[in-house]
Amino acid sequence: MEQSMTGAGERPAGAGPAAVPSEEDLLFALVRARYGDRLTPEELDALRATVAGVVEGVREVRAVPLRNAQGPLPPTGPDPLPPP
Amino acid sequence: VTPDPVFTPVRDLAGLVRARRVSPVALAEAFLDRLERLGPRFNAVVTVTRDRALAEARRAERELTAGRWRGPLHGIPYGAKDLLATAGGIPTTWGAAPLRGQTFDADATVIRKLEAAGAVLVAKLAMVELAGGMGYRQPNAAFTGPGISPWAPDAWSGGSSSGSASAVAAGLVPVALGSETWGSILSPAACCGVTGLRPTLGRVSRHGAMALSWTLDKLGPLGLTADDCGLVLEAIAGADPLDAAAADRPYRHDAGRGAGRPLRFGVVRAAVEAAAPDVQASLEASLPVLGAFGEVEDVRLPELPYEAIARTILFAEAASALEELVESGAIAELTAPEDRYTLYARDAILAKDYVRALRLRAVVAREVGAILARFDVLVGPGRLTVAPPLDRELRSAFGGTARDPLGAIGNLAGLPAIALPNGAGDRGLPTSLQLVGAPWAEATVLAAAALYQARTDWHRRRPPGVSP
Repeated sequence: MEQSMTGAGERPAGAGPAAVPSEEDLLFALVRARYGDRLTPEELDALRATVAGVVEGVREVRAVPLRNAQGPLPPTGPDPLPPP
Repeated sequence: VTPDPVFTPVRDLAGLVRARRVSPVALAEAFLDRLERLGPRFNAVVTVTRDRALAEARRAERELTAGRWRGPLHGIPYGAKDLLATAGGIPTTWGAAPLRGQTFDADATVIRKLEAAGAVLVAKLAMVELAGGMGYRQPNAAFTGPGISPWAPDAWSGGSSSGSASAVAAGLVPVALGSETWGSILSPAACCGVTGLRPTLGRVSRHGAMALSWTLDKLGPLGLTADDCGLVLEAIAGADPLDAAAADRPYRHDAGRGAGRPLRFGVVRAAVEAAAPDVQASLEASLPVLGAFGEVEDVRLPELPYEAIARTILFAEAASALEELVESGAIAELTAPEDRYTLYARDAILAKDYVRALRLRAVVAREVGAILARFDVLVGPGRLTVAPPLDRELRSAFGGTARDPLGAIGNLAGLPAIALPNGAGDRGLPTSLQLVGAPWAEATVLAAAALYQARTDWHRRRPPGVSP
């Protein structure tokens, strides 16, 4: 197979403006790359919708402004337990 | 005449046992028989633990004969959601077909604590596979079949503590243990018309329980009454050297204490408005009852994406907690088709978004803390609808297809809550009232629920066809 001389992220001279993939598309591509070989086309379609739901949810989370000092609730403390 | 123990509250059963009017062995036999005979009707049971139950009951009988009384749970049968580890070769399946043969070498801490209190484990109870963490959208999401509410053969028992709720409702056990990450105690309690208590996050050790979300998981009781739940909570609460998240805050249940003063109830209108009309009607009818021992007024919540915050945290933690099952491909053997792939989508949650959700959780805790400075108890529906039909796709806040602000807030802020029956809705199925308190205020929540139950009889109504 002939190797492309164009590196990832580069576009050949003369090509038109690139369509920027949506966050949903990029994240679905990640999920499909990891698990796509286990799934039917129907399951992949359903998974795309689920990824879209995840993205929609985190957009709501991102929309709330937070200041630098606003951190998570404190953890319960150092774990005193022996390893399992 | 030997009193019939079925549908007898724990405190009354304890009195019968202590007075030697009912023997622990006879009690265990009675409930073992019902579990074996009626359990399959509701897909409520994974394993009837007959041998262990009879051994524990005989021990209780010997101790009582010798004059040793461990307390109100001594000799009382109970069931445990099948995500709580049990030793002795008893399977702990997490409701999942690929884990049918899973066993553990030791009991979960709550099982050990109940054993120390003299209680008798009679069954491991059915649950939605992997506590619903895979995103199921239908009642048929357990290898034991869809949980069925004793109130109607075509109605779901709720999830994920399905069997815990239906077994109590059908008189198969006096009390049961369940777990809640988001809705898994309150929702089945509502579907089955029983009382379910979600304790404060950290009140009860989770050692030996299946983890779904380390920062959201809680264990708690389901029973016929608020008093029953309080008695069980007292036995299982407190520090545990095997669970760093279990706080050194034991709970002392005093059923006679009451509230001590008029309670201030804040009705969360956003939660009420999200509910079905029949659930809203029952809730409105409950408010004058609450008003008999408190002041009732509406409360509005600050605008925050409560459900999205809870989902982001839960999804990210579940993806990690269940990673081995996902990566191994074992989830392909799960019952609900959507459970075989939905978790893959959780890889789409970025670390930064998860941390942001945790930061917003602190905002939620602060905002609700300010509200709970003005109110003792927040009020809303225990579930937004009555038990849905078995053949209908589920709408849920968990799946993003319904609103549940009070559930999201209560679980994000780690607040104690109780669901108790408060009426009959569509098709005569139970509706439920939810009372939410400040962190560690289980006594207030239980007192309010007990005062409500002292004035109503919804918790004494029984499903058809399950009489003793």
